[in-house]
Amino acid sequence: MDRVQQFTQAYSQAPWRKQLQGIGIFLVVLVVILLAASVFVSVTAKTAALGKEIQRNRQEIEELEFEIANMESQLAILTSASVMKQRAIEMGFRPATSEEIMYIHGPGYMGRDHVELAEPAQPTTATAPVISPAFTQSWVDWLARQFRAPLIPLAEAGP
Amino acid sequence: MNEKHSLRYASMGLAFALAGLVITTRLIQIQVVSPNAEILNYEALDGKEWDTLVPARGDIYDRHGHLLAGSQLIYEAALELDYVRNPTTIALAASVELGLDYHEVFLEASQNPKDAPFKHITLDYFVPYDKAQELLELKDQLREDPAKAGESEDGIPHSLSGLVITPRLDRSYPEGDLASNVLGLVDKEGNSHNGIEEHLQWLLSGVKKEEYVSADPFLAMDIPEIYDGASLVLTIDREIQDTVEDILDVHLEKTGSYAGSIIVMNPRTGEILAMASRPRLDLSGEWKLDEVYQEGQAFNMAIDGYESGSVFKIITMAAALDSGVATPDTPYTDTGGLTVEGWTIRNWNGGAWGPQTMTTCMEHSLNVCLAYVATEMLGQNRFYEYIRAFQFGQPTGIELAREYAGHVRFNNDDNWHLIDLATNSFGQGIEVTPVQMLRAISAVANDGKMVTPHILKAVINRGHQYTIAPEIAGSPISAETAHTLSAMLAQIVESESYTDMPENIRVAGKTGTATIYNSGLTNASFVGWGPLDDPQFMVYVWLNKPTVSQWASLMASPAFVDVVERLMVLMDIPSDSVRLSMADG
Repeated sequence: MDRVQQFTQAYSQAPWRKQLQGIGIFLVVLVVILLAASVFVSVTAKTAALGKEIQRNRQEIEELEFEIANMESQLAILTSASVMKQRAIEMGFRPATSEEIMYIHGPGYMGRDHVELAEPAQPTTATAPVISPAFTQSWVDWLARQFRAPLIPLAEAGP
Repeated sequence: MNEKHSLRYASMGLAFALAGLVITTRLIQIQVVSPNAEILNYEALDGKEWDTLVPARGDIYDRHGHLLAGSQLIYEAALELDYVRNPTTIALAASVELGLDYHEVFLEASQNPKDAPFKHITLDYFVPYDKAQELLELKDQLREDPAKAGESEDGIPHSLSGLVITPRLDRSYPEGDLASNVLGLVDKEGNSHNGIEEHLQWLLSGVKKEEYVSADPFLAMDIPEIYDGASLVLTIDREIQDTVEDILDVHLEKTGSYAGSIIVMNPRTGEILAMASRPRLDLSGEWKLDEVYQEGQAFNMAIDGYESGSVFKIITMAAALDSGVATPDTPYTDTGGLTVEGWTIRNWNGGAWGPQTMTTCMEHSLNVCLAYVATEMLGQNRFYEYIRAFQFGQPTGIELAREYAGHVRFNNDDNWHLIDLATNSFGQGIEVTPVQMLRAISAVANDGKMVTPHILKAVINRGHQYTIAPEIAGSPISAETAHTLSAMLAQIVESESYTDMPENIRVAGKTGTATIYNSGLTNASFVGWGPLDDPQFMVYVWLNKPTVSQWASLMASPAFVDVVERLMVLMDIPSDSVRLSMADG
């Protein structure tokens, strides 16, 4: 009891201590808000920087694609039929006749086939997603999924 | 509170005030004094909120991967009226660098954005790379050092703000005029004309999107993805196409022909290996369609209609053999004339050829004989059933724009007469296209099965190649008929009527000369295929209005022979003696 009285007495003798207590609480709240704000600002800044980088990368991709397409065309011009024919003539070649060609039997040789410029298309089959939704969905997505979950079997059941 | 504490509070207040001042100063500095160049350059990046996202147009390759149509980098100069600060500077730069009219550009740039019908005005679609770089450098200099740039006469600081130089892709044709009749073309405005460019425009161009595009980095992921147009692999072989075009050009000159076409097709699959036609456009340079193609002139003669003449006798004879009314040795006595509905059909030389067989009727290309076969042996119903089975009057569906369907008067049509049956039997009074003839005659070379001519080998879309399978169009005749007729047509090619035919490879074929009504001129044609026992190529030659001679045997046959000799080399086809000895072991 004595200690409590001493404390009360001390505060009543010095009211600025109460003010200081109020200021302290205010500052604590302010610091918490500032911390939250700084985290928000930091995350926002990083997001903005990444967004800007994505935009720059996209632009760079587009420019590179333009360059590649342009260079492919330039290469095709340099190796066009007329240019190659002219170069062959300048180098002293002439078209062979069928009598000048010697054929050798090559077992299994099927002749020259058409070009494959991309992977042949495969029949589409349903595949499981590689990344679990737990790593990609936000908590809002997760919550929405939980709400929708009971409806899915019904929807999938069909008529 | 004592003074000591008051001093502490004052110090804290001062510190906070100073911090606030520093932050405010920095904000002003960022926003006003020395703003970030990227932010200032916002309008150059893309000032518009709504933008049209244009996918890259797909490429076109030949069957071996040679690029026939691709893309090249060019620049577009345009005005963004919302950002124009000094119309004088823009007009000056546009007139000096781009050669545009100063006053026109000045008037365009001086418009009030609120009143102007368009805020984005294209000044030049095709700005070369060096001019574009010069303009961009000048724009940067004026922005970075406006004081040095000075002012125009109206007192406004020089600025190229509002002049936007945007890179974009434009169609490029690296092979020049090679296969231009097949490819078609894309003009400066991006519109496709003729050929596969027009026919498969929807596939090549991809899908444009009008989307909200923002420079806001938080919306970076919201930019919609657009898929480029699909690329195409054609059945065309660049080397064969080049060679056949050269041969066509040579023979057009030699024969004094007005125009012409040569097609090479694989009769087993319907793949078009070459499709030459003249006139041709050099797509790599400046071109004007109207100047190259006169009124009524087809862009691609291979899909244009004409009266084929005696090459059509192959169809009549196929019908006669298949229906069993004739054999190769069926006798016929040619009297030199056949009267139908008061009209007299005569032979090409007006003569009577006496005792003949069906084989010699074909060898001497006797109109009277074939008219007799159609009118007296086959009859109208059976003849036109075969015409339907060979699908004349129907487009082949080849992947080229503006394919003509041809024109046939069937015996149930109101304006049909019996004389039509007689003239149709030797290819007059019936309009066909060269690709239709190839489709029909492929049945003779391919064991009775008719193939659909096609020029598209594969489609490449989103990283996958989809190969187009050959298609059988029908079986109008039996395999036996096909073999019999092939042997007949090989025999007549080896006869005295056909001179200078290839000696080292056995081929089947037929000439065709058709008079052009009221002109005194002809269409000279030849269709042939080989090797006879294993057909790998079918060649169709059409020379329009040859002036040196009117006969196909003199005009079109030599072109066929030249094509066959080159095909043997380019397609690795040994002579018959070598090929058969290799097959024996």
